[in-house]
Amino acid sequence: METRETKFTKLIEDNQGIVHKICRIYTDSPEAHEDLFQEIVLQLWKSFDSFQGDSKFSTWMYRVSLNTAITLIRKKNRTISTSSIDSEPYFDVKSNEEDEEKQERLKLLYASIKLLNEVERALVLLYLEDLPYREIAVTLGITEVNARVKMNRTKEKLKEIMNRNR
Amino acid sequence: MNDLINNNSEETDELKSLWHSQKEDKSYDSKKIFKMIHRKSINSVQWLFIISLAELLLGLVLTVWSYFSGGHYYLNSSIQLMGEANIQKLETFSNVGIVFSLALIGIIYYYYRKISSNSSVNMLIKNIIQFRRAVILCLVLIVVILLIVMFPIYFDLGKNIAIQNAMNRTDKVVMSPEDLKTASDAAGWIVAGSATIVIAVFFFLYYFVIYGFFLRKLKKNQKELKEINR
Repeated sequence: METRETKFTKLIEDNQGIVHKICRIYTDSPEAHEDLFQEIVLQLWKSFDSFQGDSKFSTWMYRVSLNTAITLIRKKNRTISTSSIDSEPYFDVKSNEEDEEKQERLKLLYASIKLLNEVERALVLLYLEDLPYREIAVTLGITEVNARVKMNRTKEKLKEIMNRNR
Repeated sequence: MNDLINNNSEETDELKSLWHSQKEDKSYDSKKIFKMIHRKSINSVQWLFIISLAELLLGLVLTVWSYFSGGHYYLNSSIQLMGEANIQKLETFSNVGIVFSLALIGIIYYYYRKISSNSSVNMLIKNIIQFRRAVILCLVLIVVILLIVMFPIYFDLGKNIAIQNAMNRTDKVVMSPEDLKTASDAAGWIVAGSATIVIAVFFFLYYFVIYGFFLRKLKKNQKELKEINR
């Protein structure tokens, strides 16, 4: 019989990619990544009762995970204190002949995102994850218009950082 | 790399396609995730709430103990120096203080309950800031009320010490009532002033160390709220 716990662990196992991406943009070492991952899973579990099923599981996951990364968990070892673009990436690309180039481009993208502030990082992540502006607005608790304005501003900032560091 | 950041719409399409080229990370299986949900973890907000509750419980234990130890836990010499009226005031203040502390804990609990990682980022940050303000306000209220209540009691204590000293003097020098009043008032001001400074410094250090550590961690949220509403 499927218990609440087995249902939850299965959902997290299937959707863990979301949490890993959030950990990657808010941490800069594998240890901090693991630490934040565990905290996010714990917060998701504590809030699981409030997941009504009227929204997609992934949408709810983005909200709780970003809240945990931005506000509830603060540890010095995951603070991005450097403006360096050379921090080591913790990701892998789908296998094909362009692996190496893609790795380099992803490394630049991640490093550039990490130079944004915490709220801007959340905006960029939701945007890159293809969430509609309506959902981005609901997740962040701002209006859709404000989300669009902020996104344009953040994209400009990201572009500047990438230009500077390419 | 130029293609990635030049043309606006092409650029964002490129970024999204690059983003989605990442392998799906499946490094944790159900067993590991199951272990994670049985971990214990306490964040700054929870620590603040636990400390507030612990203080209230300590206050309750002390009051209950004073009842069971015969109502008075002051030394006879203290009663003489402070005066019965002030001892009664102190006991009333302790009882009212318990009710007052319960009310403050109720307020802190109300703001604590509003903090949920299920709300939007903006709302969560606002709720954390409100919680922080409620805790600070309660701390300031407790210390200010304590100082207001204790000041006249310490003033009387200082006065009574000076009067008793004058009465116990064996040299035959007799002070006029005016001189005695001036001397005892001065002693009252000195004792009350010193006690106020000691209480204020004690609470400042205590709260600065215990609460300040967690409150400073929560302060960063104010900056984030500005960013999100900019």
